[in-house]
Amino acid sequence: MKKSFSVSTWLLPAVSGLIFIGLWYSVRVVSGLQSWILPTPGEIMAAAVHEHTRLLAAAGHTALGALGGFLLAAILGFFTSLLLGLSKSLRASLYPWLLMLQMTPVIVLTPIIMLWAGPGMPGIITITWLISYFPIVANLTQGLLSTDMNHVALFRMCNANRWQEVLLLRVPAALPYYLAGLRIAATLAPIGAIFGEYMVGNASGGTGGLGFLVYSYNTQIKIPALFATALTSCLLGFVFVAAVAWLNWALLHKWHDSFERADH
Amino acid sequence: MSAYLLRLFFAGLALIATSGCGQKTPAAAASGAALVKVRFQTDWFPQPEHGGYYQALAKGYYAAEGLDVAILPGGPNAQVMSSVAVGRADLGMTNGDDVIVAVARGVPIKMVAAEMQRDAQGILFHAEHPIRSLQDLQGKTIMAGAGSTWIEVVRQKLGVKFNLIPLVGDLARFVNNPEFVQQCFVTNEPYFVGQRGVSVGALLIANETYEPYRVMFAGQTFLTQHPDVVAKFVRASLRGWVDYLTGDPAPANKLLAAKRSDLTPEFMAYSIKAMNDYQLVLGNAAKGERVGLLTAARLTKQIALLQEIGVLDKPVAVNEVATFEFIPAQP
Repeated sequence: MKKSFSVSTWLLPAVSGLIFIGLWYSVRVVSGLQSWILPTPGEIMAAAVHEHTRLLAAAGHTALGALGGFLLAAILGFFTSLLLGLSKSLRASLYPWLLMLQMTPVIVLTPIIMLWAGPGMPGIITITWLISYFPIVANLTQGLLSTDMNHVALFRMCNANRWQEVLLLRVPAALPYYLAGLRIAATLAPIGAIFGEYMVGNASGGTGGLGFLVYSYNTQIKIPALFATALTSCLLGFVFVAAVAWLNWALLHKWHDSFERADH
Repeated sequence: MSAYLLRLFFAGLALIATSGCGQKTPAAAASGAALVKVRFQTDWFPQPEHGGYYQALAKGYYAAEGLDVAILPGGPNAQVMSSVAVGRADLGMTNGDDVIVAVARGVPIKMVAAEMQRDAQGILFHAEHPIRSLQDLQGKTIMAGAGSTWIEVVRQKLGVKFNLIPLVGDLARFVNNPEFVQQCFVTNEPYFVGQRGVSVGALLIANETYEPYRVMFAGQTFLTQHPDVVAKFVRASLRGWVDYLTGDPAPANKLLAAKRSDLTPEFMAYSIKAMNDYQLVLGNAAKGERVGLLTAARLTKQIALLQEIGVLDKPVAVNEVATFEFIPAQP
């Protein structure tokens, strides 16, 4: 955490934001565009207030899908990385295939996911998992391979067995890498869930997520509400990232360099 | 920490499991007799175009037949036919052409009744630049679903040439450009564009040459094992449709609105009126059509057409794509 917040931390973004909003209004006034082509920030806020029950319910639905996929990615990513980080031959045999999975655009896999996992929440969680899994694996594997050689030598001098080395040294030392992976995954998970709802959602149980609202507002030409949906999605993304940032702080601030040094 | 994450993981799994089976089962009949469970897969989010089924559910027509029907909502990429084929649902509804093509590719499903005598797809146009027949599309640019069968029919059979731009679910361009023409559902888009103060018209694509049904179909295994259940389902569904379109649609609309808060009463009323105006479900009695009717003659013609325009790569027999035993006799 930064030691102090200067005025500019708040003032500069506020000023640039105000300028942007001012420009937005003037474009609308000068161009004479209607609200369903370019709604003003005011109209968007009004739509957000008017639609708030629907937006909140949808955000809750999306958050569930995002959380499910994120946790699945966090758990499976953890164990995959353990396998990859600890055995050279496993790494050599599996990594190319993982790369293949990562390189395949999820949109191509959507119909297959739909068929195998099923529509609605199972499909949405699978898509979210697929999108957020790889950054976690890549980061944590790198972390497990980057343990300080001096520490490893110390463990070996003390006759630590392989498991002790992994659980007491390599995994804790790789924690910052894991958290970095989780942070990337946290930005991707809400996007994955919304994309999932847009591709395989079925709005079952009376509530669709934000991806469903995109359909609903778009077909009804409720463009300000569509912008409000974008805003809600963005806020949801911040909540996810903030949660991981907090986890990062909680797990690392007592011992890790990144929280103690003053040179950055 | 991993123990903590592990707990979260299982919580997540439980979540997946419960949400997957989150379908509420309809209220059981008061009699307490064991109802036969039937899962019916629809092709889109709940909407008035599914109204007949919801009416049958709301008014207890299914329960009266001894069925406990769960209407499964669809959505984008709903894959209705695959879902039924792999047994995730027992019956489903979709475009009749699609069933013909799927059966020809070996998907184990079969049509059991018509839902709509003709598909609701249409051409949406501004009233000041009317499209009175498909011939009027000559030389125009149309936003339409690439690969739609009707496009090939109009091009190859009617010899009408036009340009295509991909269909995205977005009406803003249409509203903005008076000469714009796009594919629509006559039961849907005209209402929302009309709400924006644009005077529009819609031409039903279905015509003498090309007139696809919308159908109810069953999985082959389910059909073989439970023909009695299929018969009951078809009977109750058609009863629901007649009641929804000619009686008071409020019971179904109430269910629909509970499932989708964005469906307004005005829109649902519009959709019902369009289904009646275009005689989509109840059919044109003058042409011998009636609710639920599928005819071998029309299906044969459709199969031949699909083959001629190259949508169907090998022939398929009428009795492979449909069975006619469940269609109610002349009223």
